[in-house]
Amino acid sequence: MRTVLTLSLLAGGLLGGCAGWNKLPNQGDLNLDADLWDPNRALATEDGLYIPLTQAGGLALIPAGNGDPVRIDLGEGRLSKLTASPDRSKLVAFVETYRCDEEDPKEAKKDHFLDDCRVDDLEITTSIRVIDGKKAAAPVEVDGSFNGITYSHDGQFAVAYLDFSDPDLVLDGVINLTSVVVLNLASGESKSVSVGFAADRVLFTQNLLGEAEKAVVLSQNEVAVVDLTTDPPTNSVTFPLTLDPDSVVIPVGIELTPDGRYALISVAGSSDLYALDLLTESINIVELSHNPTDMDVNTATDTTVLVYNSGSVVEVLEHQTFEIETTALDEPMSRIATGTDFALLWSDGSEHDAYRLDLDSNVLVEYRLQNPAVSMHISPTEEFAIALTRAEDGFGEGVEGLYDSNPGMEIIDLDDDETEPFLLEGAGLGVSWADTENSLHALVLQEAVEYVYKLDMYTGNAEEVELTEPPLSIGNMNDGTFFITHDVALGLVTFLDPKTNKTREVSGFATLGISDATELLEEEKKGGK
Amino acid sequence: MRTLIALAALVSAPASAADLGWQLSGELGNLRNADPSYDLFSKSNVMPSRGIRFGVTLADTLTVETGWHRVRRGLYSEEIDLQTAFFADEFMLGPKISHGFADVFYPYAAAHGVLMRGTMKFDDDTSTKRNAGQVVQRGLGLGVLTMGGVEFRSPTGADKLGVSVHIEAGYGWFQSADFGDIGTMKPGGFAMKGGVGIRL
Repeated sequence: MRTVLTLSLLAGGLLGGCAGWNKLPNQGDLNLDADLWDPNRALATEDGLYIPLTQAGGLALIPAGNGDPVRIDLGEGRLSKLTASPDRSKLVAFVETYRCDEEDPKEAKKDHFLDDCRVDDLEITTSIRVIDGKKAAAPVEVDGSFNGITYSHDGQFAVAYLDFSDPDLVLDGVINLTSVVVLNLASGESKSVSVGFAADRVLFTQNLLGEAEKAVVLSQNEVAVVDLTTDPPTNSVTFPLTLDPDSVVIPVGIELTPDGRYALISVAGSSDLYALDLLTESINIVELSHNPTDMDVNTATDTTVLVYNSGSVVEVLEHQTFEIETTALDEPMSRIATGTDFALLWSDGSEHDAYRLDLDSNVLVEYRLQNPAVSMHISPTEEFAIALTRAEDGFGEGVEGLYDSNPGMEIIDLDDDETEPFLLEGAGLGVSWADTENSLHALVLQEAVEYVYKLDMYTGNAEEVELTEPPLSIGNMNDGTFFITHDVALGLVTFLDPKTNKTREVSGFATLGISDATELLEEEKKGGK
Repeated sequence: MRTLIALAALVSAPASAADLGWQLSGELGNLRNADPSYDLFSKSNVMPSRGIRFGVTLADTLTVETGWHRVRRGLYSEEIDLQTAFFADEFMLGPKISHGFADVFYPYAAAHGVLMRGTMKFDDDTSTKRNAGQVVQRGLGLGVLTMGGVEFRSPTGADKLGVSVHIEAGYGWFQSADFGDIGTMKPGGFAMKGGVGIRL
């Protein structure tokens, strides 16, 4: 018997082999349909950080504090999109469920999982689920197809629509292109409302209590106003943008005036600005100097600022009289960043200029950036702005050449109207601000650089907070800390406390649910498991 | 399984102490695993295994067998530097009923209860031995393997070691093994084993 035992142990050792991390078996290439998680679509709420798990079609939550990542049960189906209301109080998941319309009963019996079904036989139904903490509420039954959603400021309503600019949009079956779905997130009810062809932009008006009243929905050739105070919500009025059925008017931008009375709409290829009076249900057309590329409503001064790619001017529209003040610029600007009583104009093209326009006095201050900007970030105190800039194609010589050939950032002192350029090690990915009563820090992320550049805006002292992996994006948590995502297959998020520079890493959450294949809904189940 | 033991008791004469023998084999095996979650670890729907089997002959036709098989599968994605690995330890116990012809040819039927202990491993930085991106999760599952096969024994005299070769095929039923938040895996289906051993 001793011989047997010896032989068994020997064989066991030989057969089992070592299962250490450095000797894992590899019998071929792993081909995945998608990355395991989406580091660019993490959403922070008071409950923690929610992260879409693209491969598993699920949702992970890293709880606020020191909790371990958990998987949110979304029921049947796969997460296709995760969105949050403006105040981040409501988190809504778009969940796709699948049914296989296989005619052959023998084949149908074999179809259990999503991958078993032929693409032609697949029927996709999208529902939405409101996420509350670690739980998903019951699915909101929605009649219609959609892939975009806009929330009211109070998070009580949302309008879902088909966003044709989404590169991942897949259309299936019969689709009504003239309706949107109004969702009452509090009651879980939904209503399909006919608004016009290819609606793709929604704004909400609110009453003095901040409650949503109306949804202004832009579609091709018309604008619909949906009354949210009726049950169910109804299309109360439709504004035609043209009376000629042969012409096509495509709205590009929409803004509401601070009092919610006017909806200002710019259209493609036209210098006309449509001012829809939602109270008297009439339309004013304001003639602009060019076709606007960006416009922004300033609440404090009750004005709208407009910039143009095709013209070196900035225009300010006064909302009471609809008079326009035009100011000449040296270079055309394409983007607007808004302060309380000023607008910071910048260009995401090849221009080097940026401007601060004081909306009270109409005084214009010009800043000259070393390189063209890719993004602009105004500090919460509105004392500074940071422009992340890109390297340019044409290299000069000396210092100019150094700036030209490198990405950088430019600090704009909005009080002293000075600029201070910095060279960056990698292209700027994002800027976040950490401010206290007497300190203001900018946290700058750079591509493929394993630290956060932390700059004290008042003293100019800089620190490097080490990261274990290059970052991808940065965002704020509700408790004042920051989250930094990394391009790591199984998931990695670094939480940074800006006061102490202490970091906490959470990793491996992208495996949650990875081994649960998506099941097909059976015919008789009609949505249940 | 109880039925098989009872059947064996009926058809076999009890072995005397002198008749008690044992056999030890090294085996290769295959068990079907069509669960989609297994695609993370293998390009085919089978779980190849290696193992050993030990049996004690209690009667002329009845042997009680125990065994252990190990599965080692894994894939690697160079694109995202992700290594996956699945290990399974299958512990088996059950009766085997056989009948010999000319002391060489022994057809048999066996039913083995199986305890499967699976381990999933994921590593997103294969250049280092220890890193934060290493995830391991274990799960347990029970199952039954019913096999039919044939064994060829070398003719030997009493009290002498002999050599045997066997091959068998059958079907396995397994419950879903729970791997916690990672998910589940449910192997099962056609199974096949073969091996070489010694017997006394």
